[in-house]
Amino acid sequence: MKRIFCFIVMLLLVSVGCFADSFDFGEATSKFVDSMGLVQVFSGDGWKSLVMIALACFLLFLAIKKQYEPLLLLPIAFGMLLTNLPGANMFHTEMWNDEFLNPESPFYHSYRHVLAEGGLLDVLYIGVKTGVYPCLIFIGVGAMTDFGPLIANPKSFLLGAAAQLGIFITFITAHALGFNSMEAASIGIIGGADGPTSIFLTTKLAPHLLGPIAIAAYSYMALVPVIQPPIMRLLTTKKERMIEMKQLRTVSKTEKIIFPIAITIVVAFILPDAAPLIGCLMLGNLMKESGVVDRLAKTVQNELMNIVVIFLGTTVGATATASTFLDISTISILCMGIVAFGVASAGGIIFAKIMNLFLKEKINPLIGSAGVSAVPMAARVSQTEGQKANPHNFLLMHAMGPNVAGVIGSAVAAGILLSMLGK
Amino acid sequence: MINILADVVWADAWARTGMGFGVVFAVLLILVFVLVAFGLFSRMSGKKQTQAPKPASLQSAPQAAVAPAASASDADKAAIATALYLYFQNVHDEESNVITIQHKANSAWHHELNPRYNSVK
Repeated sequence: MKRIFCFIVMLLLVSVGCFADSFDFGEATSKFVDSMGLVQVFSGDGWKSLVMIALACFLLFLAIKKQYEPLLLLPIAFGMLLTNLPGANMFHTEMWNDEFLNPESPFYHSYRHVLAEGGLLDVLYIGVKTGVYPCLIFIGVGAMTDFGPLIANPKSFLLGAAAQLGIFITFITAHALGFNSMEAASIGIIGGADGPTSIFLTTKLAPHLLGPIAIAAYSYMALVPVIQPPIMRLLTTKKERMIEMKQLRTVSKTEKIIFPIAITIVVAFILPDAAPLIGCLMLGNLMKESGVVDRLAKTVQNELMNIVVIFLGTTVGATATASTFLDISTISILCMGIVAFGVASAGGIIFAKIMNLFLKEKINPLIGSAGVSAVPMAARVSQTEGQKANPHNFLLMHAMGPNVAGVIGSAVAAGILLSMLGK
Repeated sequence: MINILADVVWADAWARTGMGFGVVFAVLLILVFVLVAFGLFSRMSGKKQTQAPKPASLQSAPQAAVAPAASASDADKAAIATALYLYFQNVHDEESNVITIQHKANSAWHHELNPRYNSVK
């Protein structure tokens, strides 16, 4: 045994001696040490990466332990972790911000350059940049949504519209804080409480804010049961919360089939910029309601949706690099996000109260707050609060109307902002 | 990124806000009218169908009774199940689920204090 070991050591020494002329041991060691993430963390701005890694771990904790929107928060947080690993080079912010968007750069809008030189997350990010992922997610959302309560009670559309107040109030507030129009619109869309719509609009108008906006949108969506109830109780009396609503009429299958086709045509004729989101939402819904393509409907609800969620979440998290995230504007965005959610909920409730002044059959104002998208969480909150006031109150299906109207409303709002501010 | 407040062109910002919110409302209001008209039309066509019913055979009667339940979507079934669950939860009073035994030394049933049992000893 001893002889074999000595032989191996001798062999190593001889081989090192043979290659000594071409192989600089010291230089190689130095290169290796320099490339180590541990060394990069403790040099220059490396501490920022450590802060971001800690933040990513905190978000992972929220997703796993507290189960705050884990389906999206987990990939987002892990994407954030991957992008901030020093030296891993999985995502290149400079490639997207400095080269891709600069008209004078030879790589202006060059996806070929991204494919050739980019890391794993750069390549996956192309789907975000082109607006493909949010639209694919909307197909899945459409296939999982029942528009029956909205068709049965079309007035719900108005509550969905009123809840978009949050978007526009935040738009003005962001202006006041000094953000430009495109950044303000991207921040305002957080009030739509719709992740894919927020990502879609931000990618088009202010891609450098994608990380904080996506994280704010998804975090606050998970916090809907915490944010909304105090606002609901503040703006309504106990008598109003106790209002019982009549059962909705039955919606025929024909109505459910014609609805997505009609909505797509009407919205696209008025607002073509909203057509990608609305069109995909309604395509998914038609797949479900037609009943003739069950395989496709199941695929978009499960496999397609899950795959896109992984890609979208990871790459959106990857945009939250230390250089873009650790900025005073991120704190402003997080603060304005919560304002957007609060105002949106208040807008829906107040409008429901206004509607009650003119309606014979009163509606419970609690369903107004479901006008922010956040399907079906916001509708569940309306149901819970309604039952607290009156145990015989079943508001879930009534609240689903404004809830799905909010999805359409926020997509329409995104379309308007895109048409006003887009290039 | 954050500029000075004075740089904001407020007239533009307010115009965009008003126009944006107005258009959202207008588009969704149009959709309300579309749906109302659509609902009226479908109800009218439904009435026409009921005015001229097909002769029902003996076998079709039980099928017709089952049809509404069979045609209910998964969401409807979930809503019905939720409503029933919440209703039956409220049938009974809520109890603390804490079982306690209160020891009363002066109870007439207390073994040691009861002279009858003591005398048996």
